[in-house]
Amino acid sequence: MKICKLLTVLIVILIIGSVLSAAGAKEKQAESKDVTLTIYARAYTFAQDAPWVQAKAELQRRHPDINFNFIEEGFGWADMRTKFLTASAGGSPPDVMMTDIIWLGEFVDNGLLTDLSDRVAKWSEWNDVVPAYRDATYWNGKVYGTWINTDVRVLVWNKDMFRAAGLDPNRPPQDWDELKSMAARLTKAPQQYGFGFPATLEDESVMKFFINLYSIGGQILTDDNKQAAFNSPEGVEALEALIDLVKAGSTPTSIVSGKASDIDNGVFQGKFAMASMTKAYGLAKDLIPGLTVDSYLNRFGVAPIPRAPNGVPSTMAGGYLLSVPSGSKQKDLAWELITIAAGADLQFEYTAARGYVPTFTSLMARGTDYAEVDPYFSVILDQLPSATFRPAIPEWTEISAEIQNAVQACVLGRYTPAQALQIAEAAVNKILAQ
Amino acid sequence: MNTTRHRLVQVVTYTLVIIWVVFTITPLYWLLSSTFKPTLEAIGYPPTLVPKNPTLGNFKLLFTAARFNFKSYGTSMVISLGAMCINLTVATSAGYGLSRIKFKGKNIVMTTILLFQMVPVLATLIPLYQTFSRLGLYNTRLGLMLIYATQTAPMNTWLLKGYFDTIPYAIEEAAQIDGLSRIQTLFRIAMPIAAPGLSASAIFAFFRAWNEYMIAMTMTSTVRPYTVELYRFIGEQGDVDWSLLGTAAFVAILPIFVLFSFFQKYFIIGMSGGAIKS
Amino acid sequence: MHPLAPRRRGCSLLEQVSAMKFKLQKQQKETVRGYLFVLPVVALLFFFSFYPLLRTVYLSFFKVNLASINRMSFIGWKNYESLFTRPTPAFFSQILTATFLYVFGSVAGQIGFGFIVAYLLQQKFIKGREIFRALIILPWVVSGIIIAISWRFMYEPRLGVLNYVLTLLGAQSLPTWLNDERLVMACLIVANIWHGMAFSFIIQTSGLHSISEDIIEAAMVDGASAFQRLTLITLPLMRPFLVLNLILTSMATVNSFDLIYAMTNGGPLFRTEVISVHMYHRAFDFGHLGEGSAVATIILLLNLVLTIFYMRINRGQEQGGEL
Repeated sequence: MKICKLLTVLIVILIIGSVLSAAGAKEKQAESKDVTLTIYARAYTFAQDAPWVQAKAELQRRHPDINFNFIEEGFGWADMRTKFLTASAGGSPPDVMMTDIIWLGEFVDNGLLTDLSDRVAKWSEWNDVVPAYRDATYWNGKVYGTWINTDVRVLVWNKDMFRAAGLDPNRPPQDWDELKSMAARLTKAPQQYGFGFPATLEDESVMKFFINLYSIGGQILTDDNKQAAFNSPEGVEALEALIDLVKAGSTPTSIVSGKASDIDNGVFQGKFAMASMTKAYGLAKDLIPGLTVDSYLNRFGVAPIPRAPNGVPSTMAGGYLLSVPSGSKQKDLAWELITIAAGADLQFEYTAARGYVPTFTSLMARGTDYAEVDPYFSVILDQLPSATFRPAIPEWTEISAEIQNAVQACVLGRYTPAQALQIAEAAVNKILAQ
Repeated sequence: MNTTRHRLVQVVTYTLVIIWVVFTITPLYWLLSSTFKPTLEAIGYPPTLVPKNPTLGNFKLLFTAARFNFKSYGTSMVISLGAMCINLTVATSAGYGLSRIKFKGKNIVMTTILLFQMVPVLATLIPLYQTFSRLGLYNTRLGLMLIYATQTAPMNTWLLKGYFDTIPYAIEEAAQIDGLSRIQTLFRIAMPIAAPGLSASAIFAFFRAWNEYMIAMTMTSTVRPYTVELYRFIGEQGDVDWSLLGTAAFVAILPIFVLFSFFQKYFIIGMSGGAIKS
Repeated sequence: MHPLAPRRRGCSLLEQVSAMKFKLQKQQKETVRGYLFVLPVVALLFFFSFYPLLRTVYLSFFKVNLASINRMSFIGWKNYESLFTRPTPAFFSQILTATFLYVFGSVAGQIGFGFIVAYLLQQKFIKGREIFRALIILPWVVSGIIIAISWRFMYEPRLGVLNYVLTLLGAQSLPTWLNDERLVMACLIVANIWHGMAFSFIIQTSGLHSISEDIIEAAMVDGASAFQRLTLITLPLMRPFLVLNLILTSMATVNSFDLIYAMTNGGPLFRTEVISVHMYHRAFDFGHLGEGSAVATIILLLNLVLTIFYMRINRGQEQGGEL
């Protein structure tokens, strides 16, 4: 009997308790003095000082009368997009969204982002943005965000592994043929492989293919973005350059599983001798505690990605904008936070620490400052002229998925590159036709 | 001869059972033992059976690490308890009504309710998501509570009805003569007798909500139950920190372990829909 | 005696009529009360189970996108068309095949081992039954995500236990388990058997409980061997439980999502893209809610078929069919 009384009392308490907490679950703003700002960004951006920690502090400093409550949500790449879409559709979008440049078309066409054209015009730092990058923020004539960083891919190699294999640690491969032969010499399966690239169902996996594609003179889509253009003789050769490495055993087939970041990490962990990636320095510091600039220089190298024999240097660019979702209830304050976080000062700290590329003219001129933080910064900057952006059309995620399938199928030997690209082309054209 | 054969049969039987039990324990043991290993040992090679340098440091790390949001356990607890309360209220009411009150169409109602236990939540996910968005229930604890409460409602109704059925009418009539209303009868007489059923339903509803992750993942963004937090954790990192992950899993399993060791009986009652009562 | 004459002493006709009216009113009141008691559960089920079910089928004929959730346009069968004609993942040769393999392997393993262990533990000489039972049920009370994590750890090519044991046994080339196209489904099935066997175990145990001692003893007296007792008496008597187990477990496996999503997410190369995972991908990763609903409708159909089987069996049992 006692148990039952206890149970009844417990249940009553719990009902009351849960009702109360359920009521308080949705963040409500009591008065204008309490402001909640929700930020969606890549998880790693919260793990360091710049930009968010300092930006939040600065915003609070500018508004001492407001009691800010910041909700920070860190995500993986694909997750961030999915969560943004579901949250927006669900009626509770964040106030600040880290928008990958490749998602711009999709988000804007679906009315998910606020038009910031007027606000950027009034922003003192807007003219400092490199014109080419400024133009890239426009979609259908309007601006929907400002850059927090851009990036390019470079070749990163593990000098220790080079030395162990009897190769000159300061001489990376220049083109596909050299890459092939050096990778073969560096391979000691299954402990280490000469070259790594991802073949998971992620956007990064097709980046490597695109880099090769542009190097040999091909392109992803036709200029009007209405048709696939990657299924060409150049495309087949570009893909074959990657698949040959797998066939030769210099790259394991396990690249189809796990995450693209596994490959990047692998270079610093002695699993892969070479790979192409962005944010090399940031990764190295994450993985090797106590890494100094000197030991970084000594153990790892950064160089342009090997180009096609008789081809041009090529790399792919990406990057993120900070945007204000259209459903945000704090647009002014959100924008103000963005101007701080994506302003030149914080961008410098952020990009230097991670190995990213800045977008402000004033920062481009600070090469020496960057070099103090990341010794290979000049190499990275040198790649900009040969960098290409992917087309930021709304259908990009789906198109990319088809090409990801193609790459994966080739790695697993299911299709030849020619076959796989043909299938992908048909699928992509179908998507674009809708 | 007979006894040696019998002895052999015994040995073989025990061995087979023990093999299965070992198979059952191993994966869990592996993950959870990394709770007590320092990170380097946990992700090191070769993997160790018994922690070489046992440490409690991982718990502290779990609590403070920025990568893992410790509040998520609290969120899960609130949601699970809330779901449990709603579920119990609803199932008790329905179970009692179906058991004690004679009304037209009673059997059809019972069968229909039971039939709904079979509806896969997976198939209702998309419309639920759409409806929740429209009603503002997306990313709320209440929304999750309601879905979880619905999941085990038919089964628990059936279970409780079974228990209420065992109450002899004489007691009820006596109560009615004494002037108690239906509701009072329910609380003072019927529920105490059905206490095992209530406990089983409560535990079952709680643990289904506590463990759930697909709905939690879909219907929330900032409200984060621990299951979503765990998934985020393995999804995000390239190289997983197994010791931290193991610790997080360990803490997550703790309430279930506790409930289970004391109330194992009720789990089985719930699982078998009342078929096994001991 | 006159039919309308009072039947009971001291009870007029009026009193009798009002007694009947009172009884009718009371019954009406009871009906209302009964429905009131049942109302909460019915309301809950209606809004969170029934209505969404109908809406899933409804949505499957529309084009709805996650990014523009309030814009729905009717497109008839197009969603199903896209679903069936897509080259990768191919619906019939990849998705349905994966689903079938997963269900078949899991169900066979779960029921098989469930029965074997239940039977073994049922033997009279077993001591410590409670403890064994508790340990066996353990996998079932643990969250799917934790199970996925545990098994991923086991299957880890570099750090995992399995490969370590293999190296100890002198293996030269280590399998990559979850990354290996050929092994991945088997790996998932093993993990799923591990997870779900407890449920089958419980059903079979209750079934074995229900077999009366007398029949077994009579058989022993007649000189039946253990094997004969098992095959000629126990198994036939267990049939309804086995069939019930089969159907419930099949349904649960068709609908299962947690393990696969967290362990392989349908890969590599769609080898483990079972229908539940595919629904989630189309709906939330690609944002095609309409097409996702089409997949969900097919899942519903599969469930419906199994439910009809279940109801047939149930009715057969109630009419004293098997037992």
